[in-house]
Amino acid sequence: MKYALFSGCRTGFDIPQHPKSAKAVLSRLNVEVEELDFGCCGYPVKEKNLDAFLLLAIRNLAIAQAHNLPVLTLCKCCFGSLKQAEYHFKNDPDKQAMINWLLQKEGLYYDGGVKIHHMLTLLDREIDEDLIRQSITRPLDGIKVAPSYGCHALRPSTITGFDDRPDAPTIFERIITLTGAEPVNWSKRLECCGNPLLDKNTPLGEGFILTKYETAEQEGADIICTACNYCHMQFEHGRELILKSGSTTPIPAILLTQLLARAMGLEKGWTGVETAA
Amino acid sequence: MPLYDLLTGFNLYTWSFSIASAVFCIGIIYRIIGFFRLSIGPERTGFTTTSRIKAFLFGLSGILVSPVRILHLFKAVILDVVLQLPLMRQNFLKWFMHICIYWGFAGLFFFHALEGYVSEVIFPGYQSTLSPFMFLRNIAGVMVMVGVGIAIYRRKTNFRLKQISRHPDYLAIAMLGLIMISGFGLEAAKIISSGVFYDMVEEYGSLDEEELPALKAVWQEEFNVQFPGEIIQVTPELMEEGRILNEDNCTVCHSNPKEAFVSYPLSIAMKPVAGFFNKNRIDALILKIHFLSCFLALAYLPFSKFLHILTTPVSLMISGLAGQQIKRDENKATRRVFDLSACTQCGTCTSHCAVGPLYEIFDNPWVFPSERVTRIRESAWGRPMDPESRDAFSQGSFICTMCNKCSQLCPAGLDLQDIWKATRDQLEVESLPDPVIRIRELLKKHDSEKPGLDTPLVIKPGKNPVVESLKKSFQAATFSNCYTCLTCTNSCPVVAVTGETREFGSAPHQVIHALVLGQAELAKDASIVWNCLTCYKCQENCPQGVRITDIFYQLKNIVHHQEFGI
Repeated sequence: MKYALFSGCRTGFDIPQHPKSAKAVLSRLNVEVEELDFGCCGYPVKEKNLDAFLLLAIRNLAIAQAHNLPVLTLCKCCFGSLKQAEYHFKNDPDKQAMINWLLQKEGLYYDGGVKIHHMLTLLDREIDEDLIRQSITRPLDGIKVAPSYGCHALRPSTITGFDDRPDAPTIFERIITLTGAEPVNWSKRLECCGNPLLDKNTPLGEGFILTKYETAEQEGADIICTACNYCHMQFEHGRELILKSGSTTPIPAILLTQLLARAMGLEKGWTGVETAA
Repeated sequence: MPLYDLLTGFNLYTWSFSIASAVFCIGIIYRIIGFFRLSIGPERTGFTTTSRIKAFLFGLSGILVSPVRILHLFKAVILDVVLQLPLMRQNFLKWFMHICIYWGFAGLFFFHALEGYVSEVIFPGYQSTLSPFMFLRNIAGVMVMVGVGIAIYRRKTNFRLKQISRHPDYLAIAMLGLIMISGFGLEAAKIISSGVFYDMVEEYGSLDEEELPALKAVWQEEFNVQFPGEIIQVTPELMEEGRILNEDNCTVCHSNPKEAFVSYPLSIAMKPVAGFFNKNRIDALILKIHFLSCFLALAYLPFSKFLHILTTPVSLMISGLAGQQIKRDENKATRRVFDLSACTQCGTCTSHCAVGPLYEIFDNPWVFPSERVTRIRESAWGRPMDPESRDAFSQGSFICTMCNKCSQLCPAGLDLQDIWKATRDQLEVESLPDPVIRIRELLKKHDSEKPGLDTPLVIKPGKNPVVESLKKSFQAATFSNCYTCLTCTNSCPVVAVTGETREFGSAPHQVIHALVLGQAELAKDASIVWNCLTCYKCQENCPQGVRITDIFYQLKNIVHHQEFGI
């Protein structure tokens, strides 16, 4: 099966290791990906203008439709954005007409039906579990991983359909278990990382990430794992804050694809983490 | 031929060339000083012009002493500058267009315009009228014309390129076209010119008066020279004699004009007007047009996108050597200013921009990276923006998601990411940050003007237009299902952290309830709307299906629209 890889804007400069590790992992799992000329998912402009949000999100789906490929996102905010926009598009005929009118200017059209995956849903639902197990050549035995779920993929669950039990999801833990690592039953795993308030209400937003670091460590995690560009950036920001305050060295926060790449013997360290430490 | 050219338009040629060269030199010096003096982004202490020149020289010497870096530089010159491979990988037609103009023009510039310094030195016995030079000159001219044709086609048909193409883009194309057309026109006019024929016979030939008709016959019949008012009795014997004369006198320095495979057919097309042309020496007039258009372009170069001919090779070398990782801040500052002058307005960034399509919604040209580059350059070189445009510029700048795609795709190797970062910093200094942040500042002001908690709320009767508009949105309309069970507030992580629900607007249920009561103003100003994490916990847990988070989004949209008109 082939997918259109939707890395997300933030990977272009801030976290290039995300698509890099994702491509390595997917190639090991015999998943073919193609990088289309996608734009922004719409999430960053959602609070400014709903039409702008819809246009950007649906435009990506139209590009995927033109190539007849399902979309594979790495970021939960991208995933949530595309899912929400598609839902809105389907249920609002006026917006549907307006967006398609704008899209036809560049020769695009969307009529629904493009499948949207996140890395986690892909691994959980589309790829044979045994294949993942077999590709784990260096199991992460004994490593305790705290999964940070990421809000926009989980909720609103009726639209995102991320996991069967949105109030008590286990999809992240299921994948972590496959690597040989042990998922920590972390009290704040479903909490927001605080990134949406960065620069807007910085102290409030930073409080959330600091709490996440603190609780994860207290509850026995060796590392925190994310599967979202914005969460990852917020963890990096939190890490800098903690290091700057000089109190402790926080536990590493890594991306799911880096965890997998490590377990598959594709990456030696956690890219970008050791240097920061 | 150069001497001949010089003689026909002696004064005009020297004068116009001197003026054009002077303007060019002054322009280039002005630019170079500017590269080290001007800055993009907030002023930083310690970055004087001298410190930046020092840092540049230091960096340059670092390159020159390292064989590895020299190798990288060499690679960048060959692959990126000469062959333009990154452009080829992106879009073949664009690459073909640029290579045609670039190689064709470079060929004409070095081997034709500078023939005295290049061609005559490299090729012994070089004559502009000899093949393969005459043939190659036509090839180069055709290349440029083909490139110019594709350039016009692309700018007229690509819908995004059409939006960003301005007069200077078309002016540059037109200038190039004029130089080429006048060049071909000149060559054709010379082919038919009897005047040129007589001049050349006098200068290079050694034949008697009575031999002239035979040579004229051959050049008229075989090489399309037109002798207006003269009727030459062409006989096989005369032609035979003429061919021998041609062989003896002309062919050493003059190939068959048919080798000029564009100009020769053009000269045949000129036949009907040959009488007028030759009597009035129109060839001399076209010559003037040709060199004047060249000199005009020379003088215009430092002040136009033609400057990229000199700057873009350097920016490509910098990009090949350092990528986006320049170490010294002084050099970063210099590169930002320099990079702006290496932009060709080719539109690659804008065509691939992650948020470019939003131009259709916001009608703000500053959404486009290439438009921002042009405006930042103009501001840096002394054309500041009026406050209103500056505001719009800020809004456009902050729609950018900093995805770095423009820098990765830029065929000129610009580090645009660094320019965006610096401009954003500058806008923040000017109190023009992201609109969403500006709205928060405005709300803080509203807050201080609000009546205290002890003042009872007066509910205004009647329909509120904002609330009515929310009722029409299929998501927002759900607010009327609320029965104030407070599940949203109880599941809100912001409320959990701040512990605040007493002050109005600090808890989600209050906002929804305000809408139920038709109090849109209260809802829009509510602090929880602006402190919302958008985690969707409230919406997920609401037993009545109220889409609380999406309603908050719409309230934010409404305020954004009120404040910024979009």
